[in-house]
Amino acid sequence: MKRIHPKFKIRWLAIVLVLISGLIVVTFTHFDAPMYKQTVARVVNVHNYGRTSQSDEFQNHDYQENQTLTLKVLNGQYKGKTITANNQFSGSGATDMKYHPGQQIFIHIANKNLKRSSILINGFKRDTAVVFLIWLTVMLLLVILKFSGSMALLSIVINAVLFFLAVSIDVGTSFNPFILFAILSVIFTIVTAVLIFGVSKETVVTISSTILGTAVAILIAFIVLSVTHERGMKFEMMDYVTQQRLPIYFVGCMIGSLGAIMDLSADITSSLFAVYEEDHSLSFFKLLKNGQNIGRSIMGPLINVLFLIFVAGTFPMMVLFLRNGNSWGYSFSMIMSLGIIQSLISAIGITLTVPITSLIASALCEMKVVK
Amino acid sequence: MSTMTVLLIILFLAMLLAGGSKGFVAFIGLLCNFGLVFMSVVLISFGIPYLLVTLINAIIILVITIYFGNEQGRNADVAFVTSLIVVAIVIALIIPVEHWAQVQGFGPENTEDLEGMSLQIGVKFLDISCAMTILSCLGAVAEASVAMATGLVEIQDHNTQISDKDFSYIGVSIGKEIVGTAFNTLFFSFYGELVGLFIWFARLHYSIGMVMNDKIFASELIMTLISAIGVVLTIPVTIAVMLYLKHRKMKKAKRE
Repeated sequence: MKRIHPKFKIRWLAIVLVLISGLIVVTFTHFDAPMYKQTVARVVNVHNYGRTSQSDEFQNHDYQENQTLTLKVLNGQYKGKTITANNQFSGSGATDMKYHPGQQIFIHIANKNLKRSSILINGFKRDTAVVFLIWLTVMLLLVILKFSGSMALLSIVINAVLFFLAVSIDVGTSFNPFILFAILSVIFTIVTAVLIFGVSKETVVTISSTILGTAVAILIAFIVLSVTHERGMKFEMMDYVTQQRLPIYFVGCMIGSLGAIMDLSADITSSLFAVYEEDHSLSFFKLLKNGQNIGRSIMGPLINVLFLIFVAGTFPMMVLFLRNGNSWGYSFSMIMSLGIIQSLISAIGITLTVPITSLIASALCEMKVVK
Repeated sequence: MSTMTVLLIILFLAMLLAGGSKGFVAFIGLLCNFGLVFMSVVLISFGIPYLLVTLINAIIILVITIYFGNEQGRNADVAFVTSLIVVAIVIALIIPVEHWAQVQGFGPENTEDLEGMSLQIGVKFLDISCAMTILSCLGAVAEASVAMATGLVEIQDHNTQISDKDFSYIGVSIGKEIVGTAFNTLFFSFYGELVGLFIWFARLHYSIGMVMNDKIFASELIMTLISAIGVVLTIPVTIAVMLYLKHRKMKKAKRE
């Protein structure tokens, strides 16, 4: 007992430290204006001029409003100066927003005279909100799981760094982006599996079946896209395109489904090995069936995880399209089809991982590699 | 045939091959969920209050995800109650965070896509953002609570005399593995969805500060973090729900 007691205390001390450090980080981002190159200003006062009704050719009724903002510059050569700027916003707020006193915004000062017409609002400062939410996630993870949650965090941080490196290589060189990110996916899989499951035979099975499952899904997608000549896929509607569209689309499908496929194959492998450990006399086919049984109850919910994420992401564009007089079918094919096809490709990968993992794991048990 | 139809047929065959009748049910569940999500976006575009649409559809989506293609029984019930509680907590977090971060609508990176469109459509994009974030976390919460409930029900059935303290301890250790893999699912899908945007950031030399304040990046990161918080919360909530049910049962038994 004596040895357990101090250990427990250290954990709580660490949690308190995380709490304090989190508060420091959140407060820091509130006062971090001097670290920005762009000019940051705080809204001190707001004067609203009242709404003007608007309606467009599709009978959408909305309003527009002008406001004058009194701003205090927080950094740069005009630090401490009080200036005024104009802002126009709409009721729907697609690309604009209403400002309130106390908020911080990025501005551009075009002229030294600091007249109202030379102040341009560039955007809202949202780093405090983002950092707060990151901190809340980390806190909850550490409070609920104590420090066993730290491996999950570590793998996310390492993967973020790897991802950043891959993106830099893609931008800096003319290396084939698909091959580059395929290599990244393999590294992702190995690093994550080793961090979360440790070094064991289960991990080897998980890694190989994850890579195989993802590869098969991408291969099937590639064949289907070529055979059907990408009919019905609106690549011209793809967002944020700076290079060839098709390879980047495949990269998105590949990385997007990797985590779910790994989740599934790890679950199947660990349960199958546990079953085999209890009863060594189980035949290859019995084990295979067992693996399929475990897999089939997990695959449905997992497919739904990705499906809801990919499809919900299209909501703003969908509503905009529907309200601009487009039919349901046209809006669906223009906005949702790419996301749906991405979730279908991931779903095929997830589904095929069930037999793939069961086969590899059962074969290893049969060959008496596992004791 | 269009690409989508061919892929849909392949998925159907694959789910039959891998899951038999269960795979068939899961496939039908997926189609139902698509119908519900599509209906949600259409209803929101009609101007019907987003919270009403999202709450009703969220409950139906949870029922479908948890009860379709799962053994129906005590674990599914526990998972359903758990997800309802977690989703309620998460919604109470989503609405203030979305208002605080102001990530609604479109960013400067979308300008090209918006050409020629009327942006003043009379529907608040902030509401759409909240609806999108609520719906996107449902899958992750449902998946985690099914996994938690399945593990914990098995332990309670095998070991009826287990103390509350030991039960919670085992619950947390099961939760640890679930969180580890669920976080990967969430963050990899985040990278997968935003790979184009990250390349855009790198090509235009965005600084870290610019990325952190970017509307689209912040919006997607908030969606991912909210789902992650939902997954972590399923651990204590599942344990609490199961202990509550156990004590209620014991009280009833004592009275009789």
